[in-house]
Amino acid sequence: MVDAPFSAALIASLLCASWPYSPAPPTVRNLFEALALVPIIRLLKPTVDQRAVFGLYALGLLFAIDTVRHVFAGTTLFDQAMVVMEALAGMAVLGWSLAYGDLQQSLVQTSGSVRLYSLRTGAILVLITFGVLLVAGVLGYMRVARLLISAVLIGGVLAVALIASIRILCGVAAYGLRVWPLGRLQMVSSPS
Amino acid sequence: MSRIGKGRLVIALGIVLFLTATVVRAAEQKTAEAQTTNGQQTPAEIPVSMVVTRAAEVSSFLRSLNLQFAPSREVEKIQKELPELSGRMATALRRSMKILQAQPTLEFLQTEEQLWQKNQLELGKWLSLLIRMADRLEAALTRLTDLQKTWSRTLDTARAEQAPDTIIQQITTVLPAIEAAQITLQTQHRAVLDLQGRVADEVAQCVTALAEIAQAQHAAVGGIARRERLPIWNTEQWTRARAGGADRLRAIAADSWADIDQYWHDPSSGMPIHLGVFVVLAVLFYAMRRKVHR
Repeated sequence: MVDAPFSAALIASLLCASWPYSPAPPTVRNLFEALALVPIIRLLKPTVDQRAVFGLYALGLLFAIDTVRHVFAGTTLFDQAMVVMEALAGMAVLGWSLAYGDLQQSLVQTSGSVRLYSLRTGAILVLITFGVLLVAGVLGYMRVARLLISAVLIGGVLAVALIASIRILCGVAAYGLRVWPLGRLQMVSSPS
Repeated sequence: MSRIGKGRLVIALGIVLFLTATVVRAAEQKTAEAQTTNGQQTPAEIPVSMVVTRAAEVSSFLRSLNLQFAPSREVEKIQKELPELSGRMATALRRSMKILQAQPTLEFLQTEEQLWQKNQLELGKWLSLLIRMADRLEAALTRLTDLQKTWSRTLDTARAEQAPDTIIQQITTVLPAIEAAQITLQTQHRAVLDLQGRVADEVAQCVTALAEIAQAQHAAVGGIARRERLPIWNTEQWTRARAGGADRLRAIAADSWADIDQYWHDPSSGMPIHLGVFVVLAVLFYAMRRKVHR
């Protein structure tokens, strides 16, 4: 948070402007939700495993496309075509990552990392969800398709936004404990 | 056994007392209503000896009415903000209905529902304020009508009894003052009722939107496994999309642009606050960074 003060400020103000009770019109709220992912990724990038950064970019891009789909939801075929496209793009990213990228089986087995193994399992589950979503979208079962895409993308974005918010709050709390009046409690001391 | 018997006796006594109290209260209420009705029908005239005192009371009452019903800042605010809000709500309703036709996600429906509930809450506050205002105005007008009748009868009596000129002059000064106050309050009452009607129309719009959203929510949950569209390869669907799709896309894009334009130009959409929050936080976080690096 200290290294990216403007990103942290932008995240807080964009999330504040896009919450449901904000007086901003719905299109602007949706736009801010999508835009908030830019500073979120910028803030998280130096702190997360570099192998996850590509996933964050992919999530950001898919969420931006989904926001456009939301805006044009009332157009015949557009909604359906976008859902199919999003499912294909998601499957392509995850499939590449699982087959040739950092999540391929041989690499995971060699590293022996439980974290990587969990990440690979999670990616396979999301890939299956995208597969179901693709079939539902192609066949015209749009309610199931919309529900699944919301679950995957909004769930992912909420998780990332939550991590960023916790980092900001931790940064503010750590700073607050060093300065007056909380600093007088002497709960935090500088390393000697 | 005896405890149960005592208990029953107490309950029976309680019922008898309650019924007696209810009957007595109803009778009292009826008497009071009858008295009020009689009082309204025949306002008694003022004895000539009391005219001067009562005239002073009337002018004091009229002054208090002037103060009480001086232009209210809240009503002025409603008058100023209502046309803009009506325009915004009409656009929002049009947009919501369009989106509802496209069967949006449950999350989106929930956001829409919260938006309309917020609008309904705000308008509800305005409406109750206007209703209270109209009630107060109505009560004041009733009181003025009674006063006007009383003083008219007093004037007739005074003339019949050949009261001194000063007394008659006093009465003829009071009566126009009452009539002027009546006219002012009637104008205000009409304006408040008109405003109340316009706010009630907006509340009705909120109710309509919320009912449509509830119906869409029910449909979205009810038929989740139902096929909603034709398969993507269906040629008929592509033909339909080619026919009207571009126009619809343009219309939705125009609506979205109107939203952005409204956010940019209308301060009530929250842009100054959001910008303020960003500037304050950026300065705060930047100051924190400087202090930490030092």
